[in-house]
Amino acid sequence: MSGISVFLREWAPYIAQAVGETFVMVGVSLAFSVAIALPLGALLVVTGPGRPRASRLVHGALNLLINLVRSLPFIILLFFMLPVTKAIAGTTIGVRGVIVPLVAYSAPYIARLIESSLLEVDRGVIEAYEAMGVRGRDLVVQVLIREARPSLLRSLTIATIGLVGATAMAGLVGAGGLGDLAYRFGFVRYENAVMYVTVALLIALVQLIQTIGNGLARRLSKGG
Amino acid sequence: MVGSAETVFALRSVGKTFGQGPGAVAALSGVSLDIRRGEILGVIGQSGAGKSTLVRCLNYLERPSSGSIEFEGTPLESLDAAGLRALRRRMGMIFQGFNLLKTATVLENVALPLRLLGFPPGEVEARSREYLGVVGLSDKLDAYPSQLSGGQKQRVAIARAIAHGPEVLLCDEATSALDPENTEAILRLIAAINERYGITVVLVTHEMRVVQAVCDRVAVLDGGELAELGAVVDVYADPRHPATRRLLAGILPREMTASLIDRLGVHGSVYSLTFRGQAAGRPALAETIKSFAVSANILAANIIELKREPFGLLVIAFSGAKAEVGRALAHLRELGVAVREWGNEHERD
Repeated sequence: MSGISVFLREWAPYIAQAVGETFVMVGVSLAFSVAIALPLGALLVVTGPGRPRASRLVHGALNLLINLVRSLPFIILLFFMLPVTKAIAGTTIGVRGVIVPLVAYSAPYIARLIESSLLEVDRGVIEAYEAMGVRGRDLVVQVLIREARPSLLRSLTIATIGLVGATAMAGLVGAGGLGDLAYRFGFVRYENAVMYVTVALLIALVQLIQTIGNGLARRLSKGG
Repeated sequence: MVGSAETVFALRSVGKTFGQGPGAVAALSGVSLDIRRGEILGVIGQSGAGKSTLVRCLNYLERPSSGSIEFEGTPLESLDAAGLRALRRRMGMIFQGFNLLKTATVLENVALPLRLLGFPPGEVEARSREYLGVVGLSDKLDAYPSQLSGGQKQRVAIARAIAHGPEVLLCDEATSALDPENTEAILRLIAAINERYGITVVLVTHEMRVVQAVCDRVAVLDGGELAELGAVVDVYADPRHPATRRLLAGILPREMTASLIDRLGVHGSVYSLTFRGQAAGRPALAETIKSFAVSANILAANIIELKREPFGLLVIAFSGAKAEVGRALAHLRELGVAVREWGNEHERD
C-alpha cells in the first residue's frame, strides 16, 4: 500500500505530464492529418478509373506522392524532415516540433484508409444521386462521405492508435509523451515500475480509443 | 394516356461502344425510336442485348458513341454540366439494386436528394412524407433499409425517384431482384404512378411477364439493335423477329407446337387464331364449330392478361371439306379473331 503511494508521489507528476503530451500530440496531429487526408482520399476516389472525375494524371500523381511519403518509417521521416519542420512550425523540438512529421507520417496513411472506406460505398448509390442531377461536390460530401461515416470512423480509430505508437518516438526530439517516459525512465534507468505503469496506461489508452471508435461507428451504422 | 403521340425522347441511330480497338464491344448500334409522353415503354432483351445501356443513355449516365438523343427537342449532347444536371432533375430512375443509403432512414433517403436539389426545408419534409405515402410506406419512415424487404426497398427508391416531380421514370431492371409477388406489386405501383401523374415510364426488363403486365409498347433489343417495336398486343399477336419469338417462347410455345404438328402430320390445315380484347371474351371457336361442318383439334392454347386487354392464342388443326374450312375461317375473322395459316403467317400481313 505504502509502496504504491510512494511511487505515486514520486512519479504521478511525470506520468500526468506525459499523458497530457501524448494527448496533445495525438489530438493535434490527428486533426491536421484528417483535414489533409479527407480531401486527398476523396480526390483519389473521384479521379480513379471509371469514376465521375476520372483523371489518370491527378490520380497517378496523388498515388505516387502518397506512396513516396508512406515509404519512409516515422523515425526516418522525423529527421529527414527537419528543415521542413523548422520552416513550417518554427522549431524542430518539443511537442510543436513533432507535429509536422507526425502529420506527414499519418496524413498519407489516413488518406489511404479514407480511400478504401469511400471505395466501399456502393457505386450504384452514387449513380442514383448522379441520375437525379445532384452536383459533384454534394455527391462527395453529402452522399459518398456521409454514407461512409461508419467505415471512416473505424479507419480513423486504426489511424489514431497508429499515431499513439508513433508518438513514442517523439521523445527523440524532446516532445515527451508516454512512450518517451517508458524509454527514458523505464528502460534507460531501470525503473521497472515506471515501465509497467506506462505500458498499462498505453494499453488502457488504446483500448479506450478502440472502444470509443467502435461505439461511434456502431451508432452511425444503425441501419447497415 | 395512350394515343397522345407527343414525343418525349427521340433517339436517332444511337450507338454505344465500350472500349477501343479489337477489344471494343458494341452495346448498342443504330437504335432509332421515339418515346411518347405518358406511355409505359418496355425495353426487353436477353442479357447483353443492350437494354440497360439504352436506358442509361436516356439520362446520359452513358454517353452514346454515335447518333443523337433529344429530350423534348433538346439534343442531350448540346448540354454542359449544369444543363445536364437540370435535365436529370426532370427524370427519376430506379435500379435493380435499389441503391439506397444504408446509413439513412427511409425518410432521410427520400429527403436528402430533395434537399440537395434545393427544395426549401418545409417542402422537403412534406414531399418526402407525401410520396412515401404514395408508395405505402408511411409507417416505415424511421426504419433503415436493412430492416425492409426487397419490395419495400424498391418502394423507397420509387418514392425517392418521383418526389421531385419528374416527367420521366427510368426503371433499370427494377423488379429483377424481387420475388414474383413483390414484382407484381411494384409493377402495379409503377402503373398507378404512370396513371396518376402522367409520368412517362421506360422499363427495362428481361422478363416478358413484366412487359405484358404494365407496358403499352415494347421495344425488343437483340445484340444491341432494335429488333422490334410496337404495341404489346401487336407484338404478342405477331412476333416477327426471332429474338421476340425466343422471348415469347415461354408464354406461347411455338417450337413445341411445330414439333407436334410434324408428329401429327397435319401440315396445311393448321391455323393460329389470336383473340384480342373483346374477341378473347367470346366463345368464337365453339360457335363456329357448331355452325359449320368442321372439327377442330386444339394443338396449343394460351390466354394471358395484357395491360389493357386479354389476349389469347390458339393453334388449331381443322378437318373438314376445304370450302367449309374456308367459310369457318371467314366467320372467325368476322368475329374479330385474327386467323393466320401456321408457318405462313408473315406472308399474309
